[in-house]
Amino acid sequence: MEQSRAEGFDGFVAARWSALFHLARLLVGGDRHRAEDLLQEALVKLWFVWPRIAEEAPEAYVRKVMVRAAARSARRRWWGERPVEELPDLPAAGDVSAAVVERSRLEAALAQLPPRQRAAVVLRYYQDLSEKQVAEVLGCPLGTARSHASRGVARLRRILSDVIEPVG
Amino acid sequence: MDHFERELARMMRDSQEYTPFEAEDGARLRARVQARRRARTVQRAAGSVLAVAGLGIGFFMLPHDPGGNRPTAPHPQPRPATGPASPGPTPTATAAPPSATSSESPTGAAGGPTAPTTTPTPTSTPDTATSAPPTTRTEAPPDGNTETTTAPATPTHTPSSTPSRAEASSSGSADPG
Repeated sequence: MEQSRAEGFDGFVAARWSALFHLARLLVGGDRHRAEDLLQEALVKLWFVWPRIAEEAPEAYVRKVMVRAAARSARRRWWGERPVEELPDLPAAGDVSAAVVERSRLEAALAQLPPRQRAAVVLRYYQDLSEKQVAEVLGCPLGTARSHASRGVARLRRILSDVIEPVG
Repeated sequence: MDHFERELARMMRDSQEYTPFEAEDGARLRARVQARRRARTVQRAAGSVLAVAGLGIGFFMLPHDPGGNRPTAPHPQPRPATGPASPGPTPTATAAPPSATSSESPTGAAGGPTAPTTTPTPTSTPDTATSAPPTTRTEAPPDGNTETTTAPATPTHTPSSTPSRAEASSSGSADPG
């Protein structure tokens, strides 16, 4: 019983680790250590409910746990997150590949968003969830989720205006 | 979805790099699970200990209420004993019920403290025997009602003991007894 449970859990984690880790990284604004911590914490919670969740939607459960934990943990002061006018640690162009530069810009831009706006944007554009699903995952009304997403995108539009040029 | 939103979605997807699930990650995860399990066990144990302690305190407190009533039970007894002092005829009637209840204890055991006050008649203690009659005797004259009831009891025991002394010490000896 325990053996089969562990095997099923390990199989799920091994198969979805990379995608879940990327989601966690987007949710925390690029911090690798925080992302790993967030994912591990969500997986620990998944372990204890695995017998009930395994046959349903374990990934959705982990996603919900991570999103809510990210929003909650970001409210703690010890994360020391504060908005700045200019992007910190801008990578020097030319010394790294274009993909890494783009990812760094994206993560730095996401880091400037408030946690709930960031979660709404990530769920909406990375996870391709509908506004209703975003609201359900965030645990807030539909209008609030829509507002978080639109404000987050508007802010990202300003921050990334030099990277993503508007099409005339 | 406009151009920027499409580009944003593309950037989010393209920025994903493959991160394999390594043995270190698995070991860390298992360690966290074990730690959480231990914490849950401790929480459960602490909760049950608190529950048992609460129940114990509750049960410990409960018996104290009836227990508190028991010590107070002897106190009302002197009241009927002193009560007869004031009314003449009634004391015999009122004193009888307490003596009936208390007479059980004196017969069963020594019953030193309680028995003497109410049931002086069994000849247990001379002090109380003397104390009781005088009260009736002194009060009998004014009322003149208890001539038959109290008279037989008192003369048998304390005919010559202390009529006057008992009168003086009737109230004083009954209280401590």
